Amino acid sequence: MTTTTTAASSPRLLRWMLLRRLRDGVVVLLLVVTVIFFLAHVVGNPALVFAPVDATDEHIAELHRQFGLDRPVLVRYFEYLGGLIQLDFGESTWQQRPAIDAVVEALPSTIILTVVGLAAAAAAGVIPGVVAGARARKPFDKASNLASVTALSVPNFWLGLLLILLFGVQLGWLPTSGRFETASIVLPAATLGIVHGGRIFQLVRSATFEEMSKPYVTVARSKGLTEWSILRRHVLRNTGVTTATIVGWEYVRMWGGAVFAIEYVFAWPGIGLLTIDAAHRQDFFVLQAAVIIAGAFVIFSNLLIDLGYQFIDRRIAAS
Amino acid sequence: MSLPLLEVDDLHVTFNTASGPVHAVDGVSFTMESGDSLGVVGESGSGKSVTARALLRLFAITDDVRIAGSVRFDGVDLLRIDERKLRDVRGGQIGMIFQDPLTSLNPLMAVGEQIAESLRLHRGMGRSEAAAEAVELLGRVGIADPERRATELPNSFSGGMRQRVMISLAIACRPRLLIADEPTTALDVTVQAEILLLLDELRRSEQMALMLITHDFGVVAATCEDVQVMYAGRLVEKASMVHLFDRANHPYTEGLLRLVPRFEDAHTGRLHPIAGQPPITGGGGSSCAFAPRCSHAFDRCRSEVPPEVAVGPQHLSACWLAAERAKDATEAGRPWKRDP
Amino acid sequence: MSVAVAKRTPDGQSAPAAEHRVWGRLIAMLGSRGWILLVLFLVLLVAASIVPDVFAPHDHEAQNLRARLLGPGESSPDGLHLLGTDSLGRDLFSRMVVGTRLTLFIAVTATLIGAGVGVLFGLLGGYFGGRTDRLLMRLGEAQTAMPMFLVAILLLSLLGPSVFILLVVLPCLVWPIFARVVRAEALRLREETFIEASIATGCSTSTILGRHLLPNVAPRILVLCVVEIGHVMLSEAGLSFLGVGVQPPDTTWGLLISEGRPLLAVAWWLTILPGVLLGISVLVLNLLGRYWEARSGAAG
Repeated sequence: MTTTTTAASSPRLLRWMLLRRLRDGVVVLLLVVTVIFFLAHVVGNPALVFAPVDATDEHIAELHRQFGLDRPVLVRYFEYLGGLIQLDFGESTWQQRPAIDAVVEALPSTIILTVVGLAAAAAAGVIPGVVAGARARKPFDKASNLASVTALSVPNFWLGLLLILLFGVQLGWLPTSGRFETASIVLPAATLGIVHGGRIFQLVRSATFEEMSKPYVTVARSKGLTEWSILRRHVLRNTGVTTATIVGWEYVRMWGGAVFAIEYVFAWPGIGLLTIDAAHRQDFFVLQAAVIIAGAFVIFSNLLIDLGYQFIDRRIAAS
Repeated sequence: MSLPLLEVDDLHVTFNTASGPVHAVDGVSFTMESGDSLGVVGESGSGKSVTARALLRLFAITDDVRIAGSVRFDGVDLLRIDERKLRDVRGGQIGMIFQDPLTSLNPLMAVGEQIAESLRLHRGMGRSEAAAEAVELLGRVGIADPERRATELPNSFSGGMRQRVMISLAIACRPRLLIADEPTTALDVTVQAEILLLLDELRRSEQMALMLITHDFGVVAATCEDVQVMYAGRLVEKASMVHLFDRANHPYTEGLLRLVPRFEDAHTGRLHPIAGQPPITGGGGSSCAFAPRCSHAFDRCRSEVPPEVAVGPQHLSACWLAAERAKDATEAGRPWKRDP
Repeated sequence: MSVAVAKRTPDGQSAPAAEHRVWGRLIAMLGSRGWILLVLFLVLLVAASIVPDVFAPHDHEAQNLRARLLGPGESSPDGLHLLGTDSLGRDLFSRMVVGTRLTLFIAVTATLIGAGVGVLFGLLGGYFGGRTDRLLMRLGEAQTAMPMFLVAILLLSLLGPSVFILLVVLPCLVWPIFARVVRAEALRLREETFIEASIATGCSTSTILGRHLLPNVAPRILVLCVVEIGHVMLSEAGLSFLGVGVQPPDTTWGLLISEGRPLLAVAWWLTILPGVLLGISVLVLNLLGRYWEARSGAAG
């Protein structure tokens, strides 16, 4: 076996991989920041953002000078980057405080919601996915498959509204807006759970199904094992890492979209709600800070997931 | 005479596929006694593997299969007992070895554990007892340093070694019948011989019956006393190995035997392929399935299924010309040896 | 595993009951022909977006304050309101019909743009390999690791929400998928002997790409387009719902949901029904995509 060589080189390999990932992450973030900057400063005119609706041209020109916008673009760009490195994201025009404060205040709410939502999604997706994959083409598989495709097809914010209508308005069981009590998280997390559970289900199902089709499963059957022991003792052992990866990736995906619209629907005071409010109020600095900090967070969690994956994989290889 | 160990009677296996039903096994009957060694020979798609799997109802989860007929093992019809009883037979009474040793073992379970699993299930052993027995079994199939090897994962074994592990797994519970489905196809020639020797030796020492499924007459010749030839889901000929080599009756068997490269042909470098392709949709027709490829075929072959005819002691052939050809063979001996 | 052990009949053959066979055939037919229903639904949608007047029973702009917030199935002096009316008395069904055009237009156009960019990048990366490939793939990968929805919100609010900007922003969300598929196929093909032969016989790069690679990936690209149109519909609806997408008086299904939201407690139909239509449309696209993928997968 290659254990000896792996043991010698893998910590270095791992560190190298992580560093590369980190570098990629930073490059992406820089790219996004650059695109934002040039869109705002070359295509648009930041002074307009601050100008009152009835501002005269002179007034705008005055603001232009005041913000130093008459200097060369590249100079401003590097100044801007310098500011970002010192976590200076500018002042929120709407909240009258540094933009980063508003974002840092909202971040924990989003993290809590995504983590609880992911737990719900994993619960909704993993076990049914394993069962459906192990009993492919059976009624349960067909029914749950259709259900999951449906969950993936409906708009997530609409699903949230539907839940509000059912459990908030009609039944009055659960709070539908804000984050004032523990129960407030139930509906938004459930919405996330349904939407992302659908995808987790699909991926886990196909991973399980693929594993169940391997020859060693037939061999296990020929030994006289029950389907349940085959699943538990053989298949799950082989799909475990894949499943963990699927769930981890789904967390990253969550940050790619659904959670922000759902925050808006449920008035959950996280990054999404903040961003959308900021967008409506044309608060460019908060918008920008939210995108950059959320981006950094996603890159960071990606890194953690990769690290965890490597760790599990290595432990399995070592055992 | 007592009950035969295995009595397969009019076995039919049909797969319902998207493009219609495929009649993979079409009325196969045969018997095996304890200690018998039976080779089942045929091209891929002839239904030989499906026959073997049907005995234990071992199909993929997505296969939609219909089985008809009966498979009496020790007097019990395996097709009609419930799943629970069938599981006792699987691995306990009947062991099975598969073609590809590289994928037949769970890549994440120590090989010893994979053997012990069977022992604990069928022989009611405790954890440590089963582990010790697994080591013992690994040693018996010729794996050096079994104690250490038992704790290793399959990826540290070579193909031949894995097939040895598979064999030890299949014989772990002292089955009365061992089914080996192309056990040597994926292996090197030298390793093939070792595995066949091992199977033969185990059959004798464990008093098992051995059913060996292969496309290769050479493999059967080395290991089996009896042989039956399958084509398109039907048995076309059965005989003792020695007898078959001397007096192959069915034109298909004759063609298969010609396929075995022989020493005499070495200087001419000639091979003798059977013209045409075997049907892919299996049997089920109302003609001799081999007729389209047969140089002796006449009208009757295309309109009626030939029955199995006795053409000698323990020798059956499903051909309309069987009797005639048997006579010719007695007079001329080894008809397949006469190259045109 | 479905193993049926047939009861033996005298002739040794299995004989399933006749009526069983009829039902089985019916179900099988529905299974194999069900896609016709799905396609029919899409044809209806396309028709509604081309000639909305044929489908819309009322003028979608006509306000009637006396017929405000009528529930589904209720009638006003103007006639039956199949799906009810909104707070200005406008007929919801007619508004949904009229919204079909822009909904489909944005989804299809944005997907095609994204597919075009993705295919181009995939071809370039897969064919040239090396630095180009690394750069392009890194970009695609990077995107999946970014909260792109937030980026989209930012861009839209920065540049001002409009259909045009949506057609710039939405393709950004889908191109990496196309690029990945095309690139994988290009990498695979590059190893094939017939491509090597074309290179050896002096075919130009563009000939090889156009004649060998594209025809090979075309079926998969088409299937992917079908599925991605659905995804883009959802993204557009999301952005419009958040107020940074399509702006009134233009209308799409997503915007209708958004307009209905404040009235959720009093007039659920305004929110729920456009969502049902949107959900069904995306579901139909998803099912069709899967069906075709499975079929092409089975064929080769």
